[in-house]
Amino acid sequence: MNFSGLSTCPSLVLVDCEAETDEEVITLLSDLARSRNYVSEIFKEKILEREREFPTGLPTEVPVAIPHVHDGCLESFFSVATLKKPVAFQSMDGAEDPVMTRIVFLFGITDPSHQTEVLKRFCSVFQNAALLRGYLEIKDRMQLLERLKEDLCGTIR
Amino acid sequence: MRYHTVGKGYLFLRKGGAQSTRRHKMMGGYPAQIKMKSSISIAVACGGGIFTTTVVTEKLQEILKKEKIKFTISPHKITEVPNITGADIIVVTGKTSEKNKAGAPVLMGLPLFTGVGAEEFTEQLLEQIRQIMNG
Repeated sequence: MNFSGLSTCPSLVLVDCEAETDEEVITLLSDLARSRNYVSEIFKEKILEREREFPTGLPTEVPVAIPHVHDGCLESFFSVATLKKPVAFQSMDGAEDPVMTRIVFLFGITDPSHQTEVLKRFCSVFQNAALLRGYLEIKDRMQLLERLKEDLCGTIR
Repeated sequence: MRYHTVGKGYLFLRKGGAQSTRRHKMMGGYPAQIKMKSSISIAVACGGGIFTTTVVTEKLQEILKKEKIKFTISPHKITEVPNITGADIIVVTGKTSEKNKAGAPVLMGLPLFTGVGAEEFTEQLLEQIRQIMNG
């Protein structure tokens, strides 16, 4: 499946993920990306390292986290996990309070200039609490993927 | 009598001088014009120079075009903040306590990405730009 330059597939979508920590979610999604050959072996370590140094929790109304890195990425992709219980991610702006994240979008991006439009679309989704709450109610990964495709690719191209 | 003339002349000159100074200030006249910038240079920096930089750059372009401000924007990594040269303003989207050695103010631009506090950020940014452009 191609979302305007970002690949994904149903196996990169986790619904009601029961992870307890930010590292656990990142590890789960990175391993899935590795198993589908979107990334090389170094990706997981690089993205965990990056999250420790520059955390990606976004303090939006429905908090999300957006771990991303380009090291070890072979094909630009995104993966997503809706979380059964909120998981603490450190805030991107360096605030002391962690962001109690409900949904994690994990990206590997080879060249951002090719994905500007879809990244902007993601940004609009993060700002839209109603859309995000809708995603949390979906219990089927194919259905979630379809909804994301509508919201992210609706009028692109 | 002579003294009086001189005095009048002096007074006249001074008055004229004062007026033209006022005019210069009001119109952004000659002395200010030398310092005035025609374009603003913004460096945008995030953790890896990928996601938020790309989106925030787009948002800044929208704001500056709307305000009819000429600009250049360059992407950077947050670790480069202290050593960026030639930027008037640095907008970061990630945590940093670093200052820019060349003296450019560092603004937290994450609100442009999350939408939370975006209006306040935009006002603050434009105020900062006006100050810089007017010298």
